[in-house]
Amino acid sequence: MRSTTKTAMAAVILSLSLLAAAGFTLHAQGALAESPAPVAAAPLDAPTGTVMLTVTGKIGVTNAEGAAKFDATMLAALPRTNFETSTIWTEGVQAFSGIELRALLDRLGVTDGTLKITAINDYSVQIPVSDIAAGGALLADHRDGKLMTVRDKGPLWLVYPYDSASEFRNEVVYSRSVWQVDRIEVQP
Amino acid sequence: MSDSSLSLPDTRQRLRPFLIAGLVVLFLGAVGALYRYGVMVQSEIDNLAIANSDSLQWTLAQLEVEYFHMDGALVRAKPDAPETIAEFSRSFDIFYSRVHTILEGRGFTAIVTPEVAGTEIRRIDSFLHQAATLVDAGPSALGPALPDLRRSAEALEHDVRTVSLEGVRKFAEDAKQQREQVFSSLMLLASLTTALLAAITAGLVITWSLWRFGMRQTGSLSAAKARLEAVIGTSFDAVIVVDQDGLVLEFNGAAERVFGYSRDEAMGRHLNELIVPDNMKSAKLAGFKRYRTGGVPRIAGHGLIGLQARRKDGSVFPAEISVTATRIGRKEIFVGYMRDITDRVAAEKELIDARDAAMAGEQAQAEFVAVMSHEMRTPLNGLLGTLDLLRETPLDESQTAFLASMQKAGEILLTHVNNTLDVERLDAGKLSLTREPFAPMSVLDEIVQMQAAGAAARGNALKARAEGKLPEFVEGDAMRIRQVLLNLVGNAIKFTRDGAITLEAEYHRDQGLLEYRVIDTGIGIPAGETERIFDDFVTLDPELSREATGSGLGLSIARRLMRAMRGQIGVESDVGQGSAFWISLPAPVVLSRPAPAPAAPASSAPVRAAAPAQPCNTDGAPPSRLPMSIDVLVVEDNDINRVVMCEMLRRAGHTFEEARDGVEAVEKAAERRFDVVLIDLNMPRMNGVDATEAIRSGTGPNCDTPFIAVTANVLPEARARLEAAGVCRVISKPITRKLLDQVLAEELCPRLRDRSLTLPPETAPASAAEHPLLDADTRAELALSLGPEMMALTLQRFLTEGETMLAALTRASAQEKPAETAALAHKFAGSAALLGAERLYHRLKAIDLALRTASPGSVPETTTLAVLDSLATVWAETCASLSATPATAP
Repeated sequence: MRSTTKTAMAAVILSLSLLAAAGFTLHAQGALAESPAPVAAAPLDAPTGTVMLTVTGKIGVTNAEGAAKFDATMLAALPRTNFETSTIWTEGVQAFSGIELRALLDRLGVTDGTLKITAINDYSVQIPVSDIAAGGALLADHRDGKLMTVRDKGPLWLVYPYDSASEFRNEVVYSRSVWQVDRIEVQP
Repeated sequence: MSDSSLSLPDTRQRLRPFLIAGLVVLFLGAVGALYRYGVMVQSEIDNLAIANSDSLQWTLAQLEVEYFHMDGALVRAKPDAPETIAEFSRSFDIFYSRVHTILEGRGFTAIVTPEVAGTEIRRIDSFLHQAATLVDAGPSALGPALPDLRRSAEALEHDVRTVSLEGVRKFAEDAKQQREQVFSSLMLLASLTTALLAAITAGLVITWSLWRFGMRQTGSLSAAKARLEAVIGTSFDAVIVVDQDGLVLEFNGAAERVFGYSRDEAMGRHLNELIVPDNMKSAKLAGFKRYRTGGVPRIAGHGLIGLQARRKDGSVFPAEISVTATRIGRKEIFVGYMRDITDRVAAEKELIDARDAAMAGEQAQAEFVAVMSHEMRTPLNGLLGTLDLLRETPLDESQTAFLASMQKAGEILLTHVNNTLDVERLDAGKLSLTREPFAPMSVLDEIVQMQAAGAAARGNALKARAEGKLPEFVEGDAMRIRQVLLNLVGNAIKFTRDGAITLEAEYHRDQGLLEYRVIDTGIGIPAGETERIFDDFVTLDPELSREATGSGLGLSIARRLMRAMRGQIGVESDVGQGSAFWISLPAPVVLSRPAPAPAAPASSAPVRAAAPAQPCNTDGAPPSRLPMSIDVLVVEDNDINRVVMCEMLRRAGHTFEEARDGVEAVEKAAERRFDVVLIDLNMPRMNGVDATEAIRSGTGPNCDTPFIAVTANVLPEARARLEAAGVCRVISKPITRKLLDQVLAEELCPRLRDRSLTLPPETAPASAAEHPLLDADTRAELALSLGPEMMALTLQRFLTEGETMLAALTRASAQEKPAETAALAHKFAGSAALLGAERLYHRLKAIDLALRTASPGSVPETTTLAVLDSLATVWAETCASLSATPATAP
């Protein structure tokens, strides 16, 4: 009788420790969402104001010679997203608003390849299109409700919602957080 | 099992939940700590990953690059060339943005402090503010300010460099620190994991050993169980285990054989349904109930008990059962071992019958010898007397010689007959000894006087002397001592010719022993024969024995007599020199000289003389009461009855002596003659029948006194014994004065003496109807007999005594002692009858009759049990009724 109880106890102890180990492992895993299917591209009007962003390369929609150019109005017309987060480059929580990179790519009919994102100071990074998902990279043009200037990391700053998940707080994401963006090239 | 060995596992059992809870808490704590440290390490790793130092260092490095870009653009800028101005403007903005990133960025806080590069960066910032104003003012304002701006910008070169270098150094330091922190966290985690692993391993080892221990325990337990089952299964005795409600828990193979039920049939059923005979069910149920309510068990733990059991087919058989109560946990179980003892009981009965038959045969033989001897003595005495008469007639010489031979032969025959009677009487213990004062020396003197002639005839000198100082009087049976000494002197004369025979008396005061010696100078006794001569029918010299008239019983009778008097007899002898026989017996010294005759008090003497002559009228009709005073011996163990009877006698003007049992009666009867003896039949020590027999068959003063038996009830089969014992009349309790007077008158009338035994008329059966609680007549009669004071006293005594009796009766019944119960009921019944407590009397009588013949340990009939149970109630009612209604004489 007594030995049965002891055996059962030992079994409980073992299974509990296994469960704990499993939980620990699970905790470390992140979840990456699948990219949504690309939306059929509509034609793009030509820019009327100062061009803020030029997208070249393998894109489905253009409004210039091999390029899609956007002025402030055009950017404002795209589906907008906003979130609040702190960054390692700024003090305190910032409110960013702008266009999700995923939305921009969808608008331009980009489904695959690699993005080469370049800043005014010629800093550039390469991001595979497959890495870009909704709820992630945002091409922000407003910070704390104000249009960003070059002195203020404008005109466009590629930011991520760093505070929302640890997956946005790593070296790769930080390196991809390009400010003063003005060009994107979609490479095959 | 002792208490200490019990308490240890108990304690362990109580502590076990706490132990388990403690282990679980410990384990959960360890898991929690592990999780916490795991999370901590992960966040450290995260921090390490976030450790953005690469990104930050890049920013710092870019600071210098962008500074030089701006500086280059400033050198190239010409007031008249707007594109150069625009280029400068853009590189200024980029540099501005970079500096502000460092100033505002969370990651650069450590650098912005004055200790590192705070001063330098603020100097750069103030330049930027100045320049921004100029840049924002437009190309026209900026153009003239360009040379100043260039100088200011060049002055910043050193600051920009300092900020970069200090930043890099600071970041390197931080990274190092962070690595160390991660390292220590990892170490902590590792050690914690190791500890937990060790704990789990230890737990596993303990569990494993416990498991092994448990397996061993289970193994030995099942082995023990198998052994036990084998023992029970192969037991020759039926083994039945029941729980405290009487439900069967175990029923072995032998039980199946004995009772005829299969194990499956028996399991879980109540014992009553299975093996208890119908008439015992209520008792058995009561037994279980009593045991459960904490009472004294009648069967459990009492060793082997014989009782009746029932088989499946309903047949009842005698069984022997041994029940043990055992506690298992909180429940009590009873283990019963049972054996069918039908055969044994039958064999025992056969054996007892055979023994009884043998004993009866032997007794009949002894009685035949006694009766024959007795019957022979009377004609022999007649013969000898006639011979004496014949001697007075004229005879010739040869006729005289024949007559002498006949007389001699007759005397020898008489001695033989007397000896035989003595032996028979001594062996049957019928001899009654007296204890009277006598002078030790006078015994010897008498013998010398009697035997002197005989001794002289064989040329022997016979004389007596005292050795030392003798007490004047000692107590003892002088007659019996004389008998023994006569035998010894007779032998001495027989075996001595022309010698001397000396009788000596000596008193050993220290031991209170009286010693007599008979010393002769005769032929003596061979050394090997000195013991044998005291045996029956031993005569030493065949030639001599023919001449001498020995039956070979003389010395054996002497030894029997000495033993009866708690004395001893012995001999020392040398062949050809002579023999010295001695006897010694305890005989206490009597200090004052007693009355000359150990007879009845003088006052009773004339009564005794008058008794046979006066009582009856010549016309033969028995008187209703005696016209004179008589002396009565009242033998009764029941105090109330005895006192009442004595009081009645006193009131009738008679004298009396009291005896509380048969033994006392025999002693009192030996002292003086009584005119009549009233004797109870059921008494302790010696009952009335035996006492009557002892007194009447003896030679004491009361051997022909009429005996009247007084009893509560007489079994018809007792009649023969009563008659044989010499009881001439039986009267039933309760005794009334009228009845007593009448019976005494009838019994002391000589004309009516020769009737056979009279028994009282048969009373109505006890079960016929419910008897009234009290019989007013009996009680009134008693009140009349005793007078008010004595009546009140008697009633009080009855109430007190009744309480004690009832308690004793209940106890005896509970202890299953039917004989004792019956005796108590009988005694109690006597008192109840006297007081007229009719119902109580009949209940007690029923118990007496039912239990008198029961064997010890047997369970009484249900009806008897019911009567026993009802006693207390009846007693209470009787008490209430007796106390409430005063006895009134009619």
